[in-house]
Amino acid sequence: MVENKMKSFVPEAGTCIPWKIKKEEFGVLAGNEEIVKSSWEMLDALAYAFIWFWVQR
Amino acid sequence: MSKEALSKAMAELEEEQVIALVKELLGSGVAPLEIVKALQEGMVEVGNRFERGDYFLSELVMAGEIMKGAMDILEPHLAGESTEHKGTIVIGTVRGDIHDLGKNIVVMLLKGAGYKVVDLGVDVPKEKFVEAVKETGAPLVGMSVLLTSCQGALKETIEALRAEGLNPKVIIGGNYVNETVKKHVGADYFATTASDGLKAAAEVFGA
Amino acid sequence: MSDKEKLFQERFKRYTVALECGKPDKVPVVFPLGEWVVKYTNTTLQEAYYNVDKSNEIIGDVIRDLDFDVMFGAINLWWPPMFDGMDCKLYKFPGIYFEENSGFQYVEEEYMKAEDYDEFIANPTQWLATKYLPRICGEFAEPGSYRATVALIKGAAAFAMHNDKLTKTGEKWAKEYGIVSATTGMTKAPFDTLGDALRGTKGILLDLRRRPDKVLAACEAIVPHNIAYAMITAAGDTSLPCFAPLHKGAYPFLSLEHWQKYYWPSWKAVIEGLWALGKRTFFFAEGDWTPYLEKIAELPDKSIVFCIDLTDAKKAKKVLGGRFCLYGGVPTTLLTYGTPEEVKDCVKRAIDELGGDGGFVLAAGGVVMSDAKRENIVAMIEAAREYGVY
Repeated sequence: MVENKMKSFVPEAGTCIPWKIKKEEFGVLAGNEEIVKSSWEMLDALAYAFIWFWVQR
Repeated sequence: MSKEALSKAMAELEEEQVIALVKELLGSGVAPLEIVKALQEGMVEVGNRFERGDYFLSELVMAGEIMKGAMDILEPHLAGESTEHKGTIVIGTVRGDIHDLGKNIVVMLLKGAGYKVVDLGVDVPKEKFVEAVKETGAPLVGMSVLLTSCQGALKETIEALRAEGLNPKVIIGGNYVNETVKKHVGADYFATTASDGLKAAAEVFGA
Repeated sequence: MSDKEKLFQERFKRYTVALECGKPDKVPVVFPLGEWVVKYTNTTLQEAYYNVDKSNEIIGDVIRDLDFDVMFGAINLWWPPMFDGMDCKLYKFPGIYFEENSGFQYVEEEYMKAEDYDEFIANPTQWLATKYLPRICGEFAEPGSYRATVALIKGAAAFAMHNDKLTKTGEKWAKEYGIVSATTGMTKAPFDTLGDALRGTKGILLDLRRRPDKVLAACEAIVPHNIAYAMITAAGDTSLPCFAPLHKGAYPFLSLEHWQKYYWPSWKAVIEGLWALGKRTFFFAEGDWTPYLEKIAELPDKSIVFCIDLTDAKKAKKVLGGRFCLYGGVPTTLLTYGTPEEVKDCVKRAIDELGGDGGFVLAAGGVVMSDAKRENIVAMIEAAREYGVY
């Protein structure tokens, strides 16, 4: 089961799945980590804004 | 335990105490209408405290909730008993607007003060106001509105009443109504707080 | 630099100098955008809500020949297709629920129940995603189902599309008309976040007596989120203030004691948190805030722009003036029921009373809806230029 490998965590404000959680799951990255990280965080912030949008009216 | 204690507990918003006292008084054979009267006295005090600036909306909402809990217990015992009242008032939030917080608070305080209130709810078309005034012959109509974009409906509703030859006094209520809006829509009174509404009712019914 | 770009720089400076409590060359004046612009066209309100390009055309026609600095408001704060795609219950728009020329309405319910407090407090973002969204959206009735998956894709796509459109529109107003946006980003007071769309007005007001500790804990849990949400929605911008529509902190919702205990500390923490990041808050005080002015004055100098709706303007000037920029001066009801002459007099008075020494932005104090008259808005803008030269 995939679920069993996923750690439970409380994302800090502004994040849904913080990079440091996902990086652990990815393990060692073969290429440029910075590029992966910044794109991950950009989309994660968009998801965060989407989730909170409904109560920030 | 006395009815005075119930009035006091109601005024102090002591929810558990009110419920306990209502049950106790019922159990000891006090007439349900007497209990309602005691609750209403407490509610009048709540209104007075709001008027004095000791209570705020939060307290009024709580008072409404306690009253509702008490009435849920009392209603089965009230079947068939008719209460005397000071007069009938028709009230509703006008067409296009679904805000009811202010309206519900005024309804609660008017009932507490002994009026019979016909609450038409929210988003009420002018025809419904006309019909209700015809049916009840109410000398006072309350029209609630929060959104400024729905204030046009006040004018239309008042005109519809007048066109039918109905001449109850009309009070408009809401956060953004004032003398200008009152004049523009052709109302008799305006109210920005629940106590303004009570004062107008007292004037109309000479109570 | 094009003429429009120069104009933009000039207006941007005028506005931001005032925000800093300084004295610009003229009193900055704000164009109140709202549904009223649609009333003067053949377009229905429904079409304007749904079709952003169409509403932008309408706005373009209205503002083309007007000389103002800043634009505030929107025709379509919310884009209905996004709500339709998820069958979201929070709003009713013209189209499905109302006839074509009605405005929208918010449908308030206790979408979060009293028993949800602990779970929400422990992990707010996860609770919203897994518990709240399925409750407010018909299409999410069975999370993970075909219907729910499709709806989520649509909702997220619509969110990204609409945000992108808003950004591009802002750039267009700046570039083609030299107009500055009043705010960037959005946030709220934690008590309002909890009370508006989660517990509901009645719910939160009763909670103050039935479970006050939960209210406090939830507001505290929301603080970092409202700081983060502001910065994400502002795309990091700190040159303009963050829009914060405030609701239940207005008089007479809460007694001063309750206000100080439940409304203010967490809201103050958000404002101070943003200020520490260099972000000012657009304190959009809808309704009357007069009794709380002294507490508001505790904020760090210049950390907010205080918007005067029904608050006592003279008292606001006395308590906050000089340390915080004041915004407003023209009552929204005057824009509906007044005459251009009355509006002009009001503008003159407002500038005399509130704007004498700078730190003032002339604007409508509240939300201008479909009822406003075009001639009054034009009179307001023209009078601002006539009387507003320092």
